[in-house]
Amino acid sequence: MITFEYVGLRYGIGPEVLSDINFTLEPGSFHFLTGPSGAGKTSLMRLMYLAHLPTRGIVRMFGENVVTVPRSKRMEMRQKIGTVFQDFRLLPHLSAFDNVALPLRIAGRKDHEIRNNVNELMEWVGLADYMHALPNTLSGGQQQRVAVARAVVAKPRLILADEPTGNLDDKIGARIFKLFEQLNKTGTSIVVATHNLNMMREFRHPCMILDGGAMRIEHLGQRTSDLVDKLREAF
Amino acid sequence: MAKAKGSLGKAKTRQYDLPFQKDIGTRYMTTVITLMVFLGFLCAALGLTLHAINTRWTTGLEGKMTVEIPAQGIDQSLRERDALDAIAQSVIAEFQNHRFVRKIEVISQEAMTDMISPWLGERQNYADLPLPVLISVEVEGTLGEKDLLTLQNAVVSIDAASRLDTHKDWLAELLRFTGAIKLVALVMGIVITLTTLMAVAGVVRARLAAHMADVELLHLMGATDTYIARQFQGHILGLSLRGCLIGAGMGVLMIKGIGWVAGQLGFILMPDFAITMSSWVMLCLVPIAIIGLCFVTARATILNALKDMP
Ligand SMILES: Nc1ncnc2c1ncn2[C@@H]1O[C@H](COP(=O)(O)OP(=O)(O)O)[C@@H](O)[C@H]1O
Ligand SMILES: [Mg+2]
Repeated sequence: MITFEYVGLRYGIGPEVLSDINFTLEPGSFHFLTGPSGAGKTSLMRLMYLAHLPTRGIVRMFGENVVTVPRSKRMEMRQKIGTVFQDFRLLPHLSAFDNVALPLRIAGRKDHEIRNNVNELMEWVGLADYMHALPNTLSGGQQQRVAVARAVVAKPRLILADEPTGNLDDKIGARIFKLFEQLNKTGTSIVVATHNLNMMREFRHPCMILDGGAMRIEHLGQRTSDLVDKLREAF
Repeated sequence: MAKAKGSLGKAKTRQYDLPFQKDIGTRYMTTVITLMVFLGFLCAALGLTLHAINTRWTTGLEGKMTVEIPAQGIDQSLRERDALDAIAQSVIAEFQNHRFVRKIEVISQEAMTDMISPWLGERQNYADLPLPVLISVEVEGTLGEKDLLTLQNAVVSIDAASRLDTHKDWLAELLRFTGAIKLVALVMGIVITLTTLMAVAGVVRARLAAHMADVELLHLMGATDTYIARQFQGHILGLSLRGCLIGAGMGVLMIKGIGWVAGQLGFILMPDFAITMSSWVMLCLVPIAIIGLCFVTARATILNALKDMP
């Protein structure tokens, strides 16, 4: 699904934000991505949702090298990825409904299909009453839920969520995680960048830990609790 | 403020994924297209009218000539009416010897009076004017040099003061004149088209720059360039449609107005300035062509700009 080989990323002429990142994510896997603020979580996510190309190394998504793949193919790849951006990036002039409907419209789905899917999902994230609201009239948490709904609505093969519960209380946060969990059971690969130790403890998934530009993966097991404790100390 | 369920903060029906409606310069864009269509409309009307006049005069005068027998003889003395009529009869008799002369007749006094009365005003009696006698001649097709020379010589040998007028000279003059104006109309049409295209391309580029973040977002969600271009196209199409309708409406009013004024003044040169049905159809093509051009330009501009994005 995703393979990184000796990947490095720098912004402009700045220092390398990520260096020598190596990992492989199998289809249907679920990973947390964590690390202190500024460690490069969002940068790593950007590489995966193809907003940036690596400055060195090879990134393979869905079996294709993202640098050499033709542009049209890259668009197809992006349609298979659902992203929750850290800053939501909702279109301010579109209603919550239309924001969520966007990926389906881009994929050229039929109107009634769009309506059914979006309505169902808005209900699930508890925003059924806010269908026609503009994003800037919604609270941060509500906007975040719209962003989550938009990321999952087109049933992507890979979901990348950058701190998707940062603005949510634990109850609704857990609900979002359960949604991811359910999608994961149907075969969707999931990477969630988060600081939320409770969630990491509750849903025992392997954890990609970024620190000082390098990354390691700690696998699920007895040690996860220890890991969480260690992380709690670290942040 | 944050009452999302009320009318406050409720989104209008979605038209485009990008917020074009709020863009500055939307009205400017419509105005430019309106003016361009209006000017284009007038240019086309001018060109079509001149073309119609040209064809009317050329086909109307083809194979036609006039023999003019002036009231004054070669020695400047005024001649009697009867003498002029006698010359006319000789000319007719001579011309009828040639088989390519299809029709020949003296233009009646009444017809002459009708022709000159717009210039001279209604008079009781034109008889005391030294009017020439005119003979209208129609020949098969166009005459060759040799036959024409024969006829001209025949006229001069009957009466040295008379001459055969083939209308060629002043028709050539008229055609040169209308040709020049037609060229000006064509150049103006080209300038108008280029200006419109540049305006559209400029607006599209400005829009793209203004919505870059949103366009990037659409790209990240897998939107193809065509999908994004469709948004811009649709938006530009809407603007140009509005501009074209207003511009064409103004153009029609203007043409009707000119036609009315011309009718009131009774222009002798353009007795039927009124635009024919087929010309109206051609005129309708102007706004349609401009809309099409705007559409194609918007699409080409946007696709060209997007292809450099990652
Ligand atoms: N667009 C950018 N241009 C320049 N530097 C950036 C940009 N985005 C992030 N950075 C830098 O890269 C580093 C990692 O940032 P980021 O990936 O956002 O970390 P995280 O999401 O883990 O907080 C930070 O030092 C940040 O300043
Ligand atoms: Mg971040």
